[in-house]
Amino acid sequence: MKTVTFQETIRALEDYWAQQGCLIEQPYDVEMGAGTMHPGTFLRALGPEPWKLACVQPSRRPADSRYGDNPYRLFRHYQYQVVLKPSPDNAQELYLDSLRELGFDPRHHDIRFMEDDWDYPALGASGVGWQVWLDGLEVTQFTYFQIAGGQELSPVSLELTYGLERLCMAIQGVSHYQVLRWNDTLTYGEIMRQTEYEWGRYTFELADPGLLRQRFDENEREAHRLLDAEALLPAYDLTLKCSHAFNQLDARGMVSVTQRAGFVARVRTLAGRCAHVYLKQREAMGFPLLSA
Amino acid sequence: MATVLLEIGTEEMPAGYLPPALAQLAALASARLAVERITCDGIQTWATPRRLALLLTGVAERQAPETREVRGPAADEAFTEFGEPTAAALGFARGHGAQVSELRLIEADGVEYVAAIFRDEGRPTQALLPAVFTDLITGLTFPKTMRWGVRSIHFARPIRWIVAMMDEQVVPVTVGEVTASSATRGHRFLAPGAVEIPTAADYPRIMDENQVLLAPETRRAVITEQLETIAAQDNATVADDGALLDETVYRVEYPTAVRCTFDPEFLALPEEVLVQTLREEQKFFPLREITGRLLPAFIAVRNGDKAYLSAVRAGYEVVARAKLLDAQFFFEQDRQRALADRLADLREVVILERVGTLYDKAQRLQALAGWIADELGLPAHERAMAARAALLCKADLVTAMVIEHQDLQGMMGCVYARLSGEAEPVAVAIAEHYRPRQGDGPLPATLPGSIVALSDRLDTAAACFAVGLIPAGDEDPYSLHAAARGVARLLMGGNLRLPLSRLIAGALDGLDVEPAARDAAHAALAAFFQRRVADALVADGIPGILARAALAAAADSPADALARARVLLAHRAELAPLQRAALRAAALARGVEAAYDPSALTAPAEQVLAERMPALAPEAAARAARGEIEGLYALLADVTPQVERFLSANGGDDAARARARQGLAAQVAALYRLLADFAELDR
Repeated sequence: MKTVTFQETIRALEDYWAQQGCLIEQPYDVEMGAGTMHPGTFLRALGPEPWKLACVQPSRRPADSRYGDNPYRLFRHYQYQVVLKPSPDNAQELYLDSLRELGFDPRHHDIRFMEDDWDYPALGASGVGWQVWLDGLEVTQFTYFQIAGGQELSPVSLELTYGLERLCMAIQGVSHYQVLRWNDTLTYGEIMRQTEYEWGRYTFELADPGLLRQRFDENEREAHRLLDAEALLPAYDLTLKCSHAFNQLDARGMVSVTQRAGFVARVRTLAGRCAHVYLKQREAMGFPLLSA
Repeated sequence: MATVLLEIGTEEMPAGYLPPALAQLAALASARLAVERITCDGIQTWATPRRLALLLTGVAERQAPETREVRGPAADEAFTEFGEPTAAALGFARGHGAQVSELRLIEADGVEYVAAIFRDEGRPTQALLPAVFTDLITGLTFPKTMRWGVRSIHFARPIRWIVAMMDEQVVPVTVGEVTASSATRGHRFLAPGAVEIPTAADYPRIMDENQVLLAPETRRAVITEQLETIAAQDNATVADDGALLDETVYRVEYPTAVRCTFDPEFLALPEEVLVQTLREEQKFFPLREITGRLLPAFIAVRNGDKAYLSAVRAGYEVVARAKLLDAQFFFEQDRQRALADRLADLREVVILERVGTLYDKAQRLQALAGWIADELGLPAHERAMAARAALLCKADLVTAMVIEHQDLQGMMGCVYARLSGEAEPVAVAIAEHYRPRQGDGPLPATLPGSIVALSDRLDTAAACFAVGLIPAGDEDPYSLHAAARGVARLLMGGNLRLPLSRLIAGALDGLDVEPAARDAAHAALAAFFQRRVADALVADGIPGILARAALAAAADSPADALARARVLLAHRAELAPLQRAALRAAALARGVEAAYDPSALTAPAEQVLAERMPALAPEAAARAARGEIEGLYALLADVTPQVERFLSANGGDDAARARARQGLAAQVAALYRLLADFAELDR
């Protein structure tokens, strides 16, 4: 296999999905735990309008912080997010072709579709699909999105979320993210290791649970106020911030099993209201992308 | 005779869905063919991750013919006395498209009727198959279904092709906008592309030629043989409880096992962690030496052949290393602190705003477990073990390993307790206190483990009920049904024979509750637990009426209710005389005190029984108190003929004697109530 750098991997995916007719978007600039929360996924999956999107989305997962030491786990990793609405009949072939484009001949590997009924209670969202395993390594989440913001989705969107570091490590045949070649001169570790170390310290040692709870409460209150005024997108950003604050508390072990239900329900209420307002707005506009 | 094939080609199905789907497919097909009067010699079904297949052999070309009678009016209403058809006969014939001359006379229940006789010669099977196949596909049920694209149907995963054939002919079927053809697909990577099936009977051969081991039992045999061959080279055994093999059978179409290794330094991790990481997360089969120790090696099963296998193995090993490094990271981080030192961290974990923190709960559990140990009369050192384990049982929830792997809760507490120098019974009780994990899962094996398990669930339910968080209907966000089921099972388990009401009071004592709220919570908890005890009895195979009869006699003690229910079940065929005697005695005694004057009794049957009661009643009560329910039953069965004679003796009209009879009957009724409320058996 030819050696492909991290940035070339991203470019290869951009080229491939652009050829499949996807809009190449840019990362959303609010911290989030998964590309699903990018408004181009969560909101666009709602309603009847067709949509095809591909973009990089950084994902922040406090619980995955390892001070930069673990080969695969990162506080912040890069996802490659693809949304195809409605999901095409050749969904798996399209995906496998994208791997071939990156240089993976399935005959040389063990590619497995391991069922994973994806459920994101905080977004009132769920999907059915798989984790795709490449020689035992989870490289992609492959999901037929069924429900978002409590709304049953029709048509159904296909959501592909590639774990870019893992995929690229497999391409380069390296076993630690730090030695991934980002371009011809720099490694991933040289650029990101300090980020990982500092966020690991913050997550496990320095984050102030009291402050995080307070931020959660404030952002929640503000989001409800904005939703009352149907200011959807600002409210959605604040919903994302609530979700992230919850993840930070959770990573510190500051949320009990029973208390979790309460936090999750609060974020879900916000996400449900966002979905409702979004659909109302699109309907008032006459679902413009239906005729695009 | 024809061969008929249905193959539902899907995207990869969840492994656990396939065995039940296979059973359903065979049952649905068999039932439907019977309804359609289509005979066949054999029904075979197969499943792989990408297909569910049904092959029918020796299928009749046509439906079996059938003669059907439709009964009309009675003969004497259908014809006049002159033999002319009446309006009723004419109307019936017209309604069934028959001539009056075609009507026949039949007899039913001694009455003559007219009847229309229909002869159905049967339609060609080919014409019926489209509807049969459509209904089979849409009739399968799964734990969860999904929708895809703009399709209108639900299935476990998207249907991508359908093969439907009767010999060489394609059966026209369209389900979810997928139209059947004679083209199947082989192994996704080893035999890509469409493959034509010349005739239905060729299907197994075509699969074989396209690298699909169609039959699950074939794959099981191949995988088992490969695993055993590799394990034998290490003089080892495969560390699987059977579940991973069951799963792997339905994850591959062409299995190839390969031995992989990991760095022996990871063997310093607790075995549970290694097994959880390799087997539960990665689906690798760990290897165990004859001595029981794990080897630094595992077996992976590829869905593919031997080509490039060493590169694939290298990939598996890199993943295993990363996962084990992760586990090691957690373990090293966790073991730097003693388990008891984590208690302070529990202050930060709020269970629910009004229920307090995990630290509060740990303190309550320590007190409650100690109190239960006292109630059981345990010696001081055993009491201390139970109380210590109760205090520490939730401390692992704030360890990194458990935050990451919820499944290891309890188990890690046990490991860390040992490393922290806690006594072995304490460590074991921490591991056991989540049992029973499911309804019929194993109970804790040790008494401290049982006490902590009971304390935990009592406290969970009591703390929620005390602040008004009471499950209504199916809504049970705090899993209180499961907690109560656990209490029921633990109390039925044998070594905790304690009154439920006392345990509820003990649990409420640990909480800060207003007196008025406390009484309401007590009553609600008692009713809530008793319903779960009834459920648990039924789940144990006790018929509902026996469960209710036993519970009514021992409402406060699940163990005693279970013992009674089992005795009632064992003697179910012989209960009628006891029930008759108990109900008649209760009816006679209605509203009367059990005290009476024996000298007023005159009939021998009355006197015999009255003389026996002073010895019998205390003996029955003692057997009931000791839990000797079989002995109690024997006593009741023995006295029942005497009771029947007493009840049947003529009461006469002497008022003093009648009152004495009522008093004796009240004593007798109380005796039967020690075993069961026999009135429940009639409800």
